[in-house]
Amino acid sequence: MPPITFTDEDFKALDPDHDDAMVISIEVAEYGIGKVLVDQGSSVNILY
Amino acid sequence: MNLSEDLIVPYNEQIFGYSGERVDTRGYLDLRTWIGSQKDGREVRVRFLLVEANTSYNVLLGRPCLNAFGVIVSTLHLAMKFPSDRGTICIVQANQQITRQCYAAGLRITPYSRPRKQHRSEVAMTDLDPRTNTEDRIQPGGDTKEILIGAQPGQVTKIGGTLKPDEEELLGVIILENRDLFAWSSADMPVIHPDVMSHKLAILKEARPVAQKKRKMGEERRRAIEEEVKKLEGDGFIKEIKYTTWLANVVMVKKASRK
Repeated sequence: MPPITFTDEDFKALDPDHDDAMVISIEVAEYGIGKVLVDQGSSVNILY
Repeated sequence: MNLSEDLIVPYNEQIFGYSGERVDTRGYLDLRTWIGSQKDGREVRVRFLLVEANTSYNVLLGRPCLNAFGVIVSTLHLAMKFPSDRGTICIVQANQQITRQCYAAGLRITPYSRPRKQHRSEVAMTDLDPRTNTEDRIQPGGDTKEILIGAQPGQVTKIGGTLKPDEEELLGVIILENRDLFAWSSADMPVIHPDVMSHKLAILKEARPVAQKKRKMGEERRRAIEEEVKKLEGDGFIKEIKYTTWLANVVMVKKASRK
């Protein structure tokens, strides 16, 4: 498996001076779902 | 989302927030989850816990999901990378605008609380009667005799009628010596020091105060209340207050004497 690296080119957002959370879109059971919070502090996956 | 209830596995455990607050769960279910773009990504079956909570997010991906995908997150780059099925590295960018909207919305929403059963607005009078000893009072056995204590003719108390004369005299002396303990109207007992007895409301600090609606009273009851209020006000028991929001309705409790 190739190594996973991040460079400045990976930053595509508008405001580079931020402390924002990771909110992405995914597909669950063939439904597109927005407002998905990536939370490394949580021990469970949650559907609200 | 249109989820079949059959798929939900009941799960009666609570989960804990970062400050230890407990959150009820409805159950869990396993769902095929795709992360990535149209052309490149990966699908993994992920177990989701169903939680009823007011949040600005639809889904929260925790460590089980992130590790199943092998996701490396860089919050600095607002991006995450993971290996796809084809051995390439997928990148998923976060949407900064939506992130900020969710965050701002999250600060505004109120915590979820279980919908409670609607309380009846009209409460039966007897339900609110705190007295437990509702049986008739103990009555003196045998004949009774009235002895006059106060200045007015009706101000009497009863003693046993079968006492010997010397006992009766002794009892009469004691009662008369302590005649100030008898109250003939509420004006005779105007002040109870808070040290003697004080009500304390056990209030949940987090609870939202709810103002009570004004309840309509029948004409007869309204008159009785007005009369009693005037009496108590005259005796200095109560005084008029001006904050009208937090007033409780008058609850009438029938006296044992059916008055």
